Amino acid sequence: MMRAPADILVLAWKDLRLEGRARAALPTMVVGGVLFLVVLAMGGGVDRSGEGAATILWGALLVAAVLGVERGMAIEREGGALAGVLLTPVDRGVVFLAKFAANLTLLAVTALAVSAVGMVLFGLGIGGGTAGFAGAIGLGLVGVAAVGTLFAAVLGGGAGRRGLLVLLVLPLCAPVVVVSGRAAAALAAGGGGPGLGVLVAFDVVYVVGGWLAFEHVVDL
Amino acid sequence: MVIEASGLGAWVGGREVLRGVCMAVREGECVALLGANGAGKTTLLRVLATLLRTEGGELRLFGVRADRAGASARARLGLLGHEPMLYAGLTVRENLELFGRLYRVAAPARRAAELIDMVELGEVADTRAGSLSRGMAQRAAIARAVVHEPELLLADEPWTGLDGAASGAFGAVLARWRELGRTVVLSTHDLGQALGLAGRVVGLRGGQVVLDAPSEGLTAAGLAAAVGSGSGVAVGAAG
Repeated sequence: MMRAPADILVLAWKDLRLEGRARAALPTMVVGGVLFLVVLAMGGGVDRSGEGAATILWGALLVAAVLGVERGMAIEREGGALAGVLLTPVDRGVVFLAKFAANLTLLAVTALAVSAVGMVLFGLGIGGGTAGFAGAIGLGLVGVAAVGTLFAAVLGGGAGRRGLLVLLVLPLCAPVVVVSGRAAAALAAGGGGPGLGVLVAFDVVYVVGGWLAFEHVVDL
Repeated sequence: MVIEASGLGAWVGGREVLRGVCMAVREGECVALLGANGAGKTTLLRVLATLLRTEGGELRLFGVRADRAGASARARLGLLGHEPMLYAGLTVRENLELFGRLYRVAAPARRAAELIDMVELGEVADTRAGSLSRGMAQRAAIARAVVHEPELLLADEPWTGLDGAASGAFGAVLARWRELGRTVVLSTHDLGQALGLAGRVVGLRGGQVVLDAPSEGLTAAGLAAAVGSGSGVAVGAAG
C-alpha cells in the first residue's frame, strides 16, 4: 500500500487526460444536469429557498452522476483496458479509489456549472452560507461518486446497464442526498449543519465499502 | 513450480467452463494449451492470470496460493489476450509508459521507447491506440504484455488475426523468452504449431484436461484424436 497514493494519482490523471481529449463524460453530465433544470424551469412553481436550491441541485447532479460514472467505466472496458490494469500489481482497491477520484472531480466540475445555471434560471438564493452549502453538497457528492463508481464496475458492459445503474444507484444514494440537502439548506440559512456527522459516516462507509468490494465484484 | 493447479473449476455466464483442471508448469517450460473452441483455453489462461476466480480447487503461482499472492504474483506474469488491453484514447507510447509505471518499471519512458523499437511501431508511437490497425494494435499489446519482463508469459491464441509483422514480433518475444529460460503458456488450436513450439502440450476438452504429455513423439493426428475433432482444431504442417 506504500505505492497507493502514487498509483491513484497515475490512474486518476489518466482518466482526466482521457476526458480532456475525448470530452465524452463531462459535456454529457453538464448537459444532462442543465436539461433537468430547464425542464423544472418550464414547469414553474419552484421553491427558491435554500432547501429548494439543494433539492433542485441534487436532482440535476444525480442525473449527471449516472451519466458520468457509466461513461467512465465504458472507457475502461473498451479494448479490455481495465483487464490490463487489473493484471498489474496495483492493489485492485486502489483502482477503485482512482476511478472514484476521477468521477468525483468530474462531478464537482458539473456541480459548479449546474449551480451557476440554476442561479440564472431560478434566481436560486443560498444566502450568506455559500461555503457551508457547497461543503454539504460536496460531502454528498463523495458518497454518490463512491456508489456510482462501484455499481458501474459491477454491471459490466451489457445492454441496458444504464437503466440498471439508475435502479441500483439511486436508492443507495438516497440517504446521502437527503442528509446533504437538509444540511446544505440549514447552512445556507446561516444555521448549523444538522447531520453532517452522519453524512461523513455515510461517505466513509461507501468509500471504504467500494474499496474493499471492488476486487470481488468488478465485471470484466 | 511456476504453476500448480489442482481441481480448478470456473463458471462463466452461468456455464461451467472448467472442471477439475490439474496441471503443473515448471520454470522455463513452454506449454501449449490445445482444444477446440469452447474447450476452456481462454478461461484457464484468465484464471492463471488471476483475472478470473476459481470455483473450487487450488492454484499456486510461483509457489504461493494465487488468492494470497495477489500483487506479487501479478508482477511476475504477463498476459497477451484477444483484446489489446490498451486505452484507446492514449497513444501507444503513453499506454506503455502508463503500464510501465503501474508495473513499477524503473524508467517507464525509456522502456516504452525500447519496446516501441522492438515491435517496430516507431511510426505510430504517438498515434492513439484506438486508431491502430488490428495487426499494429496486437504488436502494441505484445509490448504491453512484456513491459515488465514477466517471468511467466501467458498468451491466448497469439497468432489469431496477426499480420506478418505482428507475427514476427511475437515470434521474437517467444524466442527471447525461451532463450532466457522463462516460462511460456500459450493456447492455440493449431496442433502443428503447438508441436513445433512447445515442449509439452495440455489438451482440454469440455473444460477438462484430457491430455498432458511432452510434445516429442506426438503427431498432429494423434493430438486431434485426443483433444477432439470439433470445430476450431486445426492440424498444422509441423506435426
